[in-house]
Amino acid sequence: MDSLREIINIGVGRAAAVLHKMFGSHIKLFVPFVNVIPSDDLYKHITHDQNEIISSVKMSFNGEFSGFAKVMFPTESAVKLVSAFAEEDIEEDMDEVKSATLTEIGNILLNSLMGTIANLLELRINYAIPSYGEKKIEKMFKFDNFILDNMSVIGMTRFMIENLDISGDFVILFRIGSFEKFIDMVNTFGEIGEDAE
Amino acid sequence: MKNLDLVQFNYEYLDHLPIGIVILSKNYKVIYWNSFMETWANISKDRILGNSLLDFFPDFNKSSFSILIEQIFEGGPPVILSSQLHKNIFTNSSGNSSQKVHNTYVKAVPSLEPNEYYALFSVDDVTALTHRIRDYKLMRDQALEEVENRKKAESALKESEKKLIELNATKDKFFSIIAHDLKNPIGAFMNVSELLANMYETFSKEEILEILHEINSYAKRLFSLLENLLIWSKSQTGKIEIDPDLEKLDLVVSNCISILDLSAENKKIKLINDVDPNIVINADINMITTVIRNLMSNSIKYTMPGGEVKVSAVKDTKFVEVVVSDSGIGMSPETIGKLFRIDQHHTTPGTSNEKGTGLGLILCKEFVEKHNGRIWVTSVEDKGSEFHFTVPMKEDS
Repeated sequence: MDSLREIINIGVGRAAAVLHKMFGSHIKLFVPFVNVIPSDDLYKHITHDQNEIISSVKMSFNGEFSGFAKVMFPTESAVKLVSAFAEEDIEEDMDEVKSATLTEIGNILLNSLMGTIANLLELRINYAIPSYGEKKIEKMFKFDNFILDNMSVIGMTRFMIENLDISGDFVILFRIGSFEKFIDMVNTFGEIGEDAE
Repeated sequence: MKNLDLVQFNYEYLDHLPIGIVILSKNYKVIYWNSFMETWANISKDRILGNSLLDFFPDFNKSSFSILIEQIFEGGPPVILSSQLHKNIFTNSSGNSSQKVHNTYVKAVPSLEPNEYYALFSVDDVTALTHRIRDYKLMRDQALEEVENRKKAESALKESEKKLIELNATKDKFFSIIAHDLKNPIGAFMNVSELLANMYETFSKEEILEILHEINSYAKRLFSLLENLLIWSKSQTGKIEIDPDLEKLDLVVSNCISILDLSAENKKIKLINDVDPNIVINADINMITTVIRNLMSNSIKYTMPGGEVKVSAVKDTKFVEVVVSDSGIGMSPETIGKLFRIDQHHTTPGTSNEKGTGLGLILCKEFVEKHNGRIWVTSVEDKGSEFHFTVPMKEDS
């Protein structure tokens, strides 16, 4: 788990660097939460207001291991983020044009996150085209048809874009079946790391 | 079969999709271009297949794009190019299609060569959707503007209704003053003077003096009432503008005391000027004199013989708070609620049965507010009342 936390930390660090480049702001990163939890309880670990509407960009992947990566923002923050990036006046609501823009931003971040992890572990991964969703936290993971197992491995990090006062979450979820393979690879990575020291 | 033909054969069914599909091989060579793209970009398959995309759409040569696309050729994660951030990347070459809007998705797909990838572009036409959103926003902005205008109109209507109610109350007050407060003392004045004129011979010298005193007191009351009424009617027609001047507050109070001294003496009431002689007010002196005179006159009216009426002042930063306090009969909270209001007719006879009109306090409020000041009252029944008001002062006084 410590090796997984380290790998996620490196991936999230790269994504944060991309965010920093995009918005010219200091990005504050929190310590990743990594655990094996019941799939039905996923939403309980996202500490946004449970009634708040969350905008998310999700990228599923499969190959040597499968799961998905998500970047999530409260919708209000997501609108602020898009407006800042597209250099337009801030409006209150999300529309199809803005959601497409957020999907592009999310895609860039998730590519950086997943690309880093795949490179570190020398993995060949197939990615699906990212999709945009807007739901309450509780329902956010319920309709992820991907979740078939009772338990999932979740890695999660909160980040803050300080000058926009926006906080969001990166979530990576692995199917438990593929996770054993993944752990083997992570362990190999750990050994390589130790050797290097 | 050549590679290009093989690709056309393999992906033939993509020709029937309602979205644009473009496939590039590693050197940006267009190896697939579906029917939708022919219409969308106005470029036929014959012209573009086998050629470089960059010859038709030079934007893809920009480093911001090429970095992303190169990753795709390596089998990297997909790329999204949204309409808001990348306007018309597939429509630049055809001049008449600049109104078209599209989102573009780029994904790596295995090529016919081992360990190599093609870049598969899907071009999603969102023109209608984008225009609908733009129209919707326009409509929403117009609707919001209309709501805002209506709110303004409503509030203007309410304001005008309030003014009308006040105007009506002013008119009623005028009539009530003319009908009762002016008529009664004039009637009494007439009766007493008529009595004196007709029956002069029957009265003793002392009785005549008593009647003359009575006539004089009616005349004084009438004069004071007429004075207030005139000032008030002027202020109602907007004819009174404040004309500020610097004056020592204690002199203004002394002036009021000299006017009211006689009526206070009649009731054996002591008038006290407790104002710091250094305080200088910056106000319309006539108006402030009217305010203090009215408040003092009220206090005298409601104070039992032997009591006292005191004027004092407390400095604040820009205003001075003037307090007229008495040891009179005080007021109930209900009575306090009716003071200063033109729409409430309220008068209470004085401790020597003096009559009033309730006009004085309304006038005080108007004059104090013309100076951006406040007026309020605190009172305890059977203990006395304190009338407070604020007036601008010379700041270093």
